[in-house]
Amino acid sequence: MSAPDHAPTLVRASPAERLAPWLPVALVPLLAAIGLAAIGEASTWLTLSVAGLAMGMMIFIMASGLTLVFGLMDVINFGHGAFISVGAFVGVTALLALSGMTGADSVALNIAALILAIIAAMIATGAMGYVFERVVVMPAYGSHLKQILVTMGGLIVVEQLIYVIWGPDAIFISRPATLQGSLTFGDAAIETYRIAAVVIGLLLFAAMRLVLTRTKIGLLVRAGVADGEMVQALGYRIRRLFVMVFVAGSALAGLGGVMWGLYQQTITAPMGQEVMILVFIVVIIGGLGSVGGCFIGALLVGLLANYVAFLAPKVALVSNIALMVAILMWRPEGLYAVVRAK
Amino acid sequence: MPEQAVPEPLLSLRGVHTHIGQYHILQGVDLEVPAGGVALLLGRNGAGKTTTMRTIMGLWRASAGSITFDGRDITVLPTPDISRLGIAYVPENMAIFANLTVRENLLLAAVSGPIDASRLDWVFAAFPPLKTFWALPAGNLSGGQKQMLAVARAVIEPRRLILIDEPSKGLAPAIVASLVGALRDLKESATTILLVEQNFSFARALGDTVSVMDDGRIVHSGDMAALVADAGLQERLIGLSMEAAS
Repeated sequence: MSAPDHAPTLVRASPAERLAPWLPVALVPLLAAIGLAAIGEASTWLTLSVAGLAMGMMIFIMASGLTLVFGLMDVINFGHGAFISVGAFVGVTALLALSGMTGADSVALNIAALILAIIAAMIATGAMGYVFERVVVMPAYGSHLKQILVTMGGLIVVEQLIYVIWGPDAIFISRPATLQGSLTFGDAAIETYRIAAVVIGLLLFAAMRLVLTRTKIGLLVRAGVADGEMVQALGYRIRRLFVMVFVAGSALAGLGGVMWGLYQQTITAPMGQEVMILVFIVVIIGGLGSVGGCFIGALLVGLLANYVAFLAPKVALVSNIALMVAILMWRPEGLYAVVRAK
Repeated sequence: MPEQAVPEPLLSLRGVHTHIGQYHILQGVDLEVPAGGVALLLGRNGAGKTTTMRTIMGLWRASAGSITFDGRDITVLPTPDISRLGIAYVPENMAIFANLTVRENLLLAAVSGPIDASRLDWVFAAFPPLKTFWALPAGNLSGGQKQMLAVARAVIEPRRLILIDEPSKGLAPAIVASLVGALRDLKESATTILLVEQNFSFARALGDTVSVMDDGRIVHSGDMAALVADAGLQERLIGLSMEAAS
């Protein structure tokens, strides 16, 4: 064994270098603090903040799969909104079928009905994602223009199918009894459903972090986002990974669709397409392929949308676009760039 | 010079052509890599060395010709299947996963199961920085340390053939010396290495056989010792291929 004649040295990073990865995380409390200063009243601020966090969590759930598909497969999927709509329709149909359980005066039955509806929506959208990837996306690998065209086409077809199956009218839905009403904290009234959305979002984020950092599949996904070619050269079939991530991302969109539908209490065929603007903003802000960036981006978008809608409703529509522009001027590849190698 | 008995090649390319888009890069490459030892592939920039490596790995498809590994035709095999035959690839850009730690990079490279402890000991002895920075993101390593990680990733499991593309490029002499030592150890362990290199000192220290490429073809094949001993041939080939000869 030949002995190397150089010694490794560990150069201590400067405080600025050590702080850099945490700066995006600090944006969330910073925005909340600015919101508090601008709104003035603590109870109103608390209500708006929880509403913003809940909205952010739901957008995160819808966007997390899309960002991995972007990063891993280099696929721009404009059809992602179709999974959100289908998830909402399947989930709400299941809840309507389980109305005996959702209306019962039992927390366990209410939660069981919700879980069953979510499972039904995720299975339906996961299966739909598998077919969508095979039939629509696979022929368009390597060409962004083709991807945009065929996935937009797929979205339109799925929306029309929703009209055929569920009819053209919006469907109104009541939340399960347990998730109706509000909890009061001082002068602030916070909807129970929003608290549930925050809890589900946090649990999902923790689960995704766990899978991505502690399992070999997670390592493969993270490595594939950075350099898919090298993953193949190491001996892994990345096509299988692509399909798996696409199916998981579609199922998460379905879950997001159910939650978004219950949040709005109305579902329509184009609801997925409408929320996709926010989803794309979050994916871009977070950095393509970054689940952590997507999470922070979603919280920022949710909080800002609620604060601005309260303070200056006329500029609410442009506030998130302005946020995206500001973030990209600061970090052109998003909060956490992970696909730089491509 | 009398001809020597040539052992059965481990890797063989016969009339390989590769097109990338409208460009015809490899124009009938005939190359043999004997089992054991280090085979060098030399050539000026743009001669087709990297394309040859990528075509062997299936990352770019040969449009004509055949590639056989240990007697098996691998011309149209998918890249993961080629890798699982025991062929590792260290690309010129190293392609380490910057967002993964050193440990995670090596975990992924251990395709068939957990990392073998004795192999890891060898890696740590050959490349001490990898032990020092074990838990740090690989993106934080220096260029030389990234190259060490790229080579370590290729050898963390037993391989029959390792393709290494310009490992010494842009590295400090001390790091190059480490790499030479590590590759020498590999050579002694009967691992076959196909090495693309433009640094003549590095190439001379390791090479057993040498092939020279120009314009997408092999224009010379022979023993490294013969090249070192033949000043005329060396001058012709150095002029052709070793721009950075030292």
